[in-house]
Amino acid sequence: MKKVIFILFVILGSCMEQANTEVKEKVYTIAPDMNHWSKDTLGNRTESPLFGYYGDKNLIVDEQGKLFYYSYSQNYNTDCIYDNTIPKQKLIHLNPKDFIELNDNTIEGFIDQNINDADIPKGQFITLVIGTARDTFNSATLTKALSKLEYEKVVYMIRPLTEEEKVVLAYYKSGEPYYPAKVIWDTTKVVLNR
Amino acid sequence: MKKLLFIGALLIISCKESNAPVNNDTYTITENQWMADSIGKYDTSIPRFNDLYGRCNFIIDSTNTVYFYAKAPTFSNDCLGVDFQPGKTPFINLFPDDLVKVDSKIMNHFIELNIVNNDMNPVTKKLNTLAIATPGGTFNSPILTSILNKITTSRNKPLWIVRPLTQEESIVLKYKKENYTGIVYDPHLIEWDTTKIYFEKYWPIQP
Repeated sequence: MKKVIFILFVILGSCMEQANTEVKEKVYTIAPDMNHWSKDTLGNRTESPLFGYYGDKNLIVDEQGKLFYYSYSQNYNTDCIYDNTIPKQKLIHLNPKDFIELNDNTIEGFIDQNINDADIPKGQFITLVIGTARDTFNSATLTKALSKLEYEKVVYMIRPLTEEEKVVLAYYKSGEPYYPAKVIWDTTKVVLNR
Repeated sequence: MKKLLFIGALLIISCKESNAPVNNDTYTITENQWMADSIGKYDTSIPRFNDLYGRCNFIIDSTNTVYFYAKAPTFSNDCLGVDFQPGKTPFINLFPDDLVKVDSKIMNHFIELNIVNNDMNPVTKKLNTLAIATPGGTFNSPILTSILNKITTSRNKPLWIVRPLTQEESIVLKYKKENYTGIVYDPHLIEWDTTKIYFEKYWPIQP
């Protein structure tokens, strides 16, 4: 009798797994070495130029798959250099208060209002950078976001989190006061310009 | 009879609960008449908080478009702020990019996630404040009603005020609307009315 129950259980379990794989969303794989970050891992969009670490608009997918947004004013003089070597990351004065949490219910409306910006003149585009905490992940919210983008206006890429994003995200979650000068930065990856 | 009483009691309780701060969508906000946390309207001649900015801030413009931005709290030992100057607002280094549009479709979910979120850390929860800036005067704003209803009925309720726009907000808002026209906002080039705003010793403050 026990055996039968066990077998039933196994069958049930396998069925559940199958059901899961059917529902499974696109799996994103991002190389962790900052070398092959970007573009073609998605399949639906193969070309996107390398435009530095940060975009005009930025999204972060954390360990739990939660989505955060922040914006960044580009300094085009220094940020638009195309270089095959991997530049060190500059600090952009990110602050925990800049993070805005988004979820399934708000992502589409939010992108309509703030990323697919109607005021952009024709021929200009804005850059969207998506930073992920995990190399391989699965995010239905991100898929929703990417399918909502208007590709004549938005250029995007996906890369691992930068050092600054990791630190600021930790402070966002703990709520402790954030003083960038007191953080011990990994200077092999980050440039401290002052 | 008991049943009737019970229903009556229920009715009374429900009436009390649905006692929203406003019943219609018409508001009057001037320099001397603000709205604050469930107290209703009060006079600004009463000495008030130096800080007009909350952790979360909404700006509602004359076309009822709503913008959101957050401000890092000032941590100080004496709770007075760094530099107290009555009647003036501090410069907060706000940039047009910091303003994010939120429309009525996603408003409720947005507030749930970013303002009244129960999962947020205890430090932020403790300092949870919301300032809603309006152009002032008498105006009709259904979206303000929905914001107030949402925050007053939620569990993790922020302390809130509705007030007129500050000088910095109105200037930054103007630049936000002229975004992508090539005009760049530079706080150094603005002629600030220093009777209304004051700067910390070193500015712009690097966040």
